[in-house]
Amino acid sequence: MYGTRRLKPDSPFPGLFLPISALLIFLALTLSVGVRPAYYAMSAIFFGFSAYTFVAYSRTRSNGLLIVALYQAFAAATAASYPGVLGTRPPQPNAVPAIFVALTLFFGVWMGVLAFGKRLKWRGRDLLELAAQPVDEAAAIGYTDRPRPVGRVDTTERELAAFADFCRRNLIAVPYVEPNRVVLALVIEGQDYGVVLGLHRDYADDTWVAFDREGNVTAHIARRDYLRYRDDLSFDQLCVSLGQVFVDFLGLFAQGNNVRIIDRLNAMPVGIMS
Amino acid sequence: MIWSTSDPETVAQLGSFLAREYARPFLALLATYQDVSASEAASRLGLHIRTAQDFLEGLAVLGIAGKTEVHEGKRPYFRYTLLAESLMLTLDLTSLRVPHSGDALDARVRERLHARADFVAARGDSLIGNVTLWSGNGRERKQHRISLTDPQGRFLFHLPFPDAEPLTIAEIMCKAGLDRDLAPEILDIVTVLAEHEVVEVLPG
Repeated sequence: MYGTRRLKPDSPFPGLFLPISALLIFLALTLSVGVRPAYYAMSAIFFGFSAYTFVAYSRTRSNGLLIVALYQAFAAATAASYPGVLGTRPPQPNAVPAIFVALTLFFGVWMGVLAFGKRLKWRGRDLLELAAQPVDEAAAIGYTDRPRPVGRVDTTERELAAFADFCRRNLIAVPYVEPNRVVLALVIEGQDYGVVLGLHRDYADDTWVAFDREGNVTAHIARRDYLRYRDDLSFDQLCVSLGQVFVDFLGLFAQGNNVRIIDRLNAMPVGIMS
Repeated sequence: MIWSTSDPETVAQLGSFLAREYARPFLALLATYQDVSASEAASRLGLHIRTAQDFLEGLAVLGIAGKTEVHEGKRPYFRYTLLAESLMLTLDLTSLRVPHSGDALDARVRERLHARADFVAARGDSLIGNVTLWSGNGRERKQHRISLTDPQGRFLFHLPFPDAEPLTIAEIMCKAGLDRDLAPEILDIVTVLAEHEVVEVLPG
């Protein structure tokens, strides 16, 4: 069941930028310097993508990202082996290791299935949509950069750590573990480079929800994320709602209903690349 | 005679006199001599006559020294005599506490819409660490950063948002887990923030 769309539509361009760029580079090189260097270039590009995705996997432990990284690695290997085929007279299809092609196709299909199920993207926009569903419009922008105490939950440190790990593996949020609390920072798809490459180490200006040792829940919404909404929503209600979304998720997680968390996020009217 | 005061302004005035590096030898001179003129004191202590005159006049205004006009030749002048044998300064710090009425905690408050202030949350804790207030526009724009005490930070952490229902100061203090004994410093920061139009105060 889809909720009401509260966010402004997201441009698909950021998600398509890299594949379109790679294709254009391939075509340009094919026309200018020949097909062999073009394949080598494609191989290098896919290898670069693969390295980046492996880094992303090492930071998140998201199984979906591992599938993507393997697909990209085998695609790089396949592209690198094609010049050998094209260089022979007549072309010898067997010169391309069939295993590379087969694995590329296998992981490509798997990746497509995961992408269609929204398992390969950061869920920042889904969370913002979900938080905004019960929120009323406000007469004026009531934004403030103060965090908002949202409530209290009865949880244990161990449960909280496991929940933070779940959020990280499923690309729901990036956890920052502090001595007194765990902060779960939202990441918007397409703006994850800083997080993945370790350049973005401070969550203070991001949208986040924190659970402290006493179970107090605090929410903070970044101005740039608040401005993603179509309307001026009641900021107070929005902060409470975002905190409540994570409180509900923690409750579902504690009951072992992890799949319901993903279901709720998937129900939001957000594209598979935004 | 014991000269005493408990008035904060007078204490501050005398404190500034006593802090001067020549105060001790000057008072020693007054205590030793029966009376002395400004020019005699200046020459004895190696000061400018104007400096000596200001110091003696200050003591006379406070009633620590007495002055008598003397006519010798054409120019009259003053001779100063020490009146007090000891000085007693009493400063009741509780009298400096900002007074507030009993129902001040019933005032309803919340953050003002478009407040010209930046709140910086303390890392890893449920409180605001400091608040930066902005005033003026363009090149006249100024910022004033206030580091908050722990209770003030906790209070501001629970201050209702601009579009939320205002709460009484007492209710917010209760939410923040603050004792009513801390009311004076809470009311102080509320007053400052209200003056800078950061906090909206509505009658209780």
